[in-house]
Amino acid sequence: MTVAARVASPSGIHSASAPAIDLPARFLVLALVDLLLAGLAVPFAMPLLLTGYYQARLLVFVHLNTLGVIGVMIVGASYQLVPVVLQTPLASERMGRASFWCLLFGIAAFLSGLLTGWLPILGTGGTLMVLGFAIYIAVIVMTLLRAPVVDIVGWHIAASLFGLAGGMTLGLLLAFNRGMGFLGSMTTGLLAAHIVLMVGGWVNMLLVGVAYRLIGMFTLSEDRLHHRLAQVGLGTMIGGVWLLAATALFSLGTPFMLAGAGLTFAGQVGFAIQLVRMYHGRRRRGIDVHVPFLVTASAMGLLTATLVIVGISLHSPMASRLWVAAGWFGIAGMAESAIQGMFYKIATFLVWLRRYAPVAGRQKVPRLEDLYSRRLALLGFAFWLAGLALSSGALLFDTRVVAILSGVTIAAGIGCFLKNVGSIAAHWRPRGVQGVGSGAR
Amino acid sequence: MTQTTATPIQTTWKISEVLQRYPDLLEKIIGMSPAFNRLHNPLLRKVQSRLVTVEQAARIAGIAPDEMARQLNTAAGLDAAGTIDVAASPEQTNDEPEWVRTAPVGVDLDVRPLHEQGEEPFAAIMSVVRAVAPGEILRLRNSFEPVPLYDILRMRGFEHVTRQLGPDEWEILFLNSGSKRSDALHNRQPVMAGSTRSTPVSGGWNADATITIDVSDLVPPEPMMRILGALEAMSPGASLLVHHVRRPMFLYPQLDELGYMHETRDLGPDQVEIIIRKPAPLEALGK
Repeated sequence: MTVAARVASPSGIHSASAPAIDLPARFLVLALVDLLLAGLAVPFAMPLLLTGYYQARLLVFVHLNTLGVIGVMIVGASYQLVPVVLQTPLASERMGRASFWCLLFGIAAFLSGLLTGWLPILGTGGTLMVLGFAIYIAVIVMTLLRAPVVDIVGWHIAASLFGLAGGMTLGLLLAFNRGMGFLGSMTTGLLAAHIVLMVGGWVNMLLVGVAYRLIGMFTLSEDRLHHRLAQVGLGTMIGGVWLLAATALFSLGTPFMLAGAGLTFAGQVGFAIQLVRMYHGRRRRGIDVHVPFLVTASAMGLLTATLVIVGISLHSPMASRLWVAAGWFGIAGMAESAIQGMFYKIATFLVWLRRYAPVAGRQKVPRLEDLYSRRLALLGFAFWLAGLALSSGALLFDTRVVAILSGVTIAAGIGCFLKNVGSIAAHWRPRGVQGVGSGAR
Repeated sequence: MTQTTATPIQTTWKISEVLQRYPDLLEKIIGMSPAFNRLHNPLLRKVQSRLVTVEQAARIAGIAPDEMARQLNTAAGLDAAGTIDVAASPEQTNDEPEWVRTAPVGVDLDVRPLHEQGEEPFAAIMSVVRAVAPGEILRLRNSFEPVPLYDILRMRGFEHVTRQLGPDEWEILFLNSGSKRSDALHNRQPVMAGSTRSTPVSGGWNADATITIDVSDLVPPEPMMRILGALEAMSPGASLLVHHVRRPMFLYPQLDELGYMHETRDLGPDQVEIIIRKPAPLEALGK
């Protein structure tokens, strides 16, 4: 990124615009509905973690979290954040809306197919989902190409799209394989590569990049981001994740696996160092509610990478509890912790924008933190953290009762979070004669 | 990586900027006037230091702005010879205008008790401003000269006369002249809360800007609130120059909806300027 490049960017009377609010909002609503379902299911699903990973109900629960909650939330948040990050309007809102319908029906069909094992609906759902994600990738890539400057956050977004494309392709193959079994002995390697690319290559990469921007904006610590370290961290994460995926796919051997896991771990360490730098040097003091969630996410990311290294070193079999723990802490501990923390900034701002921006300057308007209960948010975080800790105990000691207890505790954490979501949503009111679709125009 | 050079302290700097770069100067500043004792309180320091420039603080302390900047530079171990931009001091006169004797006092407000309780009186002052009818006076009593308030109330059409009644007792009479008068500021570059920069903008931008604000030190959505608030207080036809760290993507639709003309340009990493012009009534009708 150079000064010259920025100075060369267009000026003049100009109406660059963010996307209409309904675009990200519809994704966030869908993700919250899925989170509610996941919260209701988690006390029953946690004991399934003790029994293996390739059974229908557990697969439905896992994909409800990964696709329904994490995936949909990321797509919606991207549509809102990418224009801000790239300082460029979204390439096509119409395509963005089309991706919503593909994902809505695709995920519903896919989860039904996983549960019933009926190949037509599984294939239809998988195809629709792939179409939805492909449209999402196309919109973000086109927006990236239009951006006058792509900074380190933009590069994280770009890298994450490759992870999504790769993971999605492997996922579609796995879905069809579930009905036809054509992959044979490759199934396990493909599954491992799919998980690595989706969690490490897409979700983690995107969350890290977005965290750099969000933390900087909301704590006034953008100048504390160490750009060289961020570049190195991104490079090691890309190298690590893709090396791991390739090793799993093509059975390249333990040294390559360890190298991939080591690079991924180094990338997570780099992110943790950036968090410490930014939070320590922040000019907006005080502990915002997003802070404990993101710190937990970073710690869980490190834990996940550590478990992967240990698993490879010990040559743990795929059915091992250790891999289940790595997957669980990557999905719930890292991704969903980060998403909850970021939601308090992204979605709250979205609602504020809709309800209060039109009268800001003319009337007294609330701050973002006035839209929800800070105490409830912290209580929810405490439940969430306790649930994660209990789940590690359940996996470690193979205790069904503790697994159920962890599920109940996690559900309580989700309940607190959703109660706050309700409080935030209560501020969302129609703006006179304008339709939802014209919210920000 | 950012490299910091030892730039001499300027009279146009905010006290917050001085303390951010030279934290050891806190005691030096506090020692300059009893009015600055409240800077011992971290909360008040955080709020008030962002509202006051060195030049304004010098006026509060009763010393020349360049002398205060020189003292601060000396204490910071900086050689400031010939490098201090002395901000133009507003005209001061002992001749009180006619309205001081003829206009009725609409609101009487003593904010000294608030200071004693460690509270920031700005909100209390602004809440009573609306109650002052055109032609009426807001009589404010304070323990120091509230220099930053002058520019803010001037934008709302208030003229003022200041009287020092004692070492820690000031009476300021604000007359509501009946119209917002941001046009009265054409010949000056007033700084509102949050502004820190005095760097001139090349081209015609600066000449067009009636008011300049800096929202770099604010977190979303505060920049939007501050910008829309400033625009609301401005007269039709006036322009606002905003210093920001990024393009305010979510502000643009609001500006478009309100009929404001706006232009953005990037100056470098994390440095953006937006100039916004409030349409005159006829322009708005023609839109």
